[in-house]
Amino acid sequence: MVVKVHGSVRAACPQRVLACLLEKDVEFEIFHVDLDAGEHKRPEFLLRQPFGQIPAVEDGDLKLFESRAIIRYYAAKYVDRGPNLLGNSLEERAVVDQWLEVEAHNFNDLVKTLVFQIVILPRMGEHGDLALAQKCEQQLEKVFDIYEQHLSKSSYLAGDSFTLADLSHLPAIRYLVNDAGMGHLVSERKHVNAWWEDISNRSAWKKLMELSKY
Amino acid sequence: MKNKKVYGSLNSAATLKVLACLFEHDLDFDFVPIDLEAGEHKKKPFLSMNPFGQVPVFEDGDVKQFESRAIIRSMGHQYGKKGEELIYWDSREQAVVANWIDVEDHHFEPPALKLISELVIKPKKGLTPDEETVAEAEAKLAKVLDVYEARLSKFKYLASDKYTIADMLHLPNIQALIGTQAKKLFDSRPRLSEWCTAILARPAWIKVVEMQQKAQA
Repeated sequence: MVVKVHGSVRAACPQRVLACLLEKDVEFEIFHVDLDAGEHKRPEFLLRQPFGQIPAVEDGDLKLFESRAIIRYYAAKYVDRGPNLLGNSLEERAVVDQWLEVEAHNFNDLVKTLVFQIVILPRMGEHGDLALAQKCEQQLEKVFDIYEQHLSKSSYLAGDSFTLADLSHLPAIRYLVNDAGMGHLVSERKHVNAWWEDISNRSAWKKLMELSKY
Repeated sequence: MKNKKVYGSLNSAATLKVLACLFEHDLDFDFVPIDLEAGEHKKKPFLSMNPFGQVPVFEDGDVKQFESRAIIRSMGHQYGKKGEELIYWDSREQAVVANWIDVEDHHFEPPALKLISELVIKPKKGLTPDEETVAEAEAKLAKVLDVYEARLSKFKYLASDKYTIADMLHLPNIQALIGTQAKKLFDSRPRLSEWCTAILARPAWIKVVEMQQKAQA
């Protein structure tokens, strides 16, 4: 059964889902949602995702939203296919869960705010709040310092293998490095840099980059 | 066998969620209070347990875990009582629970915490709530609660017809909000109101409330 992914292939949250599906070799079809036209706020879309956000996924009669819930599902459903993105034991899974939550709470909002101010608003012809962007950058420096310390002791966030915890960071870091001119946050940190080089060179991620046609 | 430990604060919603989960699973534990006012969570030795300087931290044997929703997910899978699990073993059904856990995280909690900050925390410090901030947060929360009302018209609980982690995560913030003017947002939505009454009546949650009351006594 082909998984229907409703969203935009260049948006961060759908990319989180698509990266996971590609890692697990799950067939999918993208149904583009035109954010500029406000498609995500229309009644038909709100039936799929009542908060008017992308992505929303349809897999037979299973309908899901919230990208991190979706990737947890596919990582569990196809645990025996491709790389194990969840860890091999309950204890390992607990660490994966922990760093997935770290990404959601300590990392994602800072990147989202910063990118909105210095990339998205200017694209819309408006002025971003540079002071706010700078504040986010400073806070991200501290977060990346913690990641640097952590990755000096383990190759990936949850241990010795690539898991959902690492995957979840891919779209946001791409925005930072490629669109927001914030590559220094990564390149100035030896272990973060090595980790980013590794995870962004995975074939699933490279396939997604091709699909996104940047 | 070392006792399980929770390092946290009874003023922290995240800590209270973990405590509720421990009581739901009938697990014995020691509670180690961390003084947030004194900034204990931003200093060593706490930082060596959670480098992000946030409560709670859960210690189970040799393992220390932070991030309340990660702790709670793990607890659900590790200690789920057969027939009374707060999770599902089937990945499809668990996916829906995970979906609504993230709804609580991304949609419910932010405006809820904003309101609690204005309507509960500020008054305790002798400060006046900012009317504009309150109105904005109430409007945001109202939209979320409309989604909840529609969802709960189809299911007894948020994820399905049984109580799961997705419901439990709402407890501390709902408990705080119904003691404020924001109570009207819940009272005016009948299914939501029924659901709140049901989850606040869980014996495990009542034990958490008793812990808080004892500490304030």
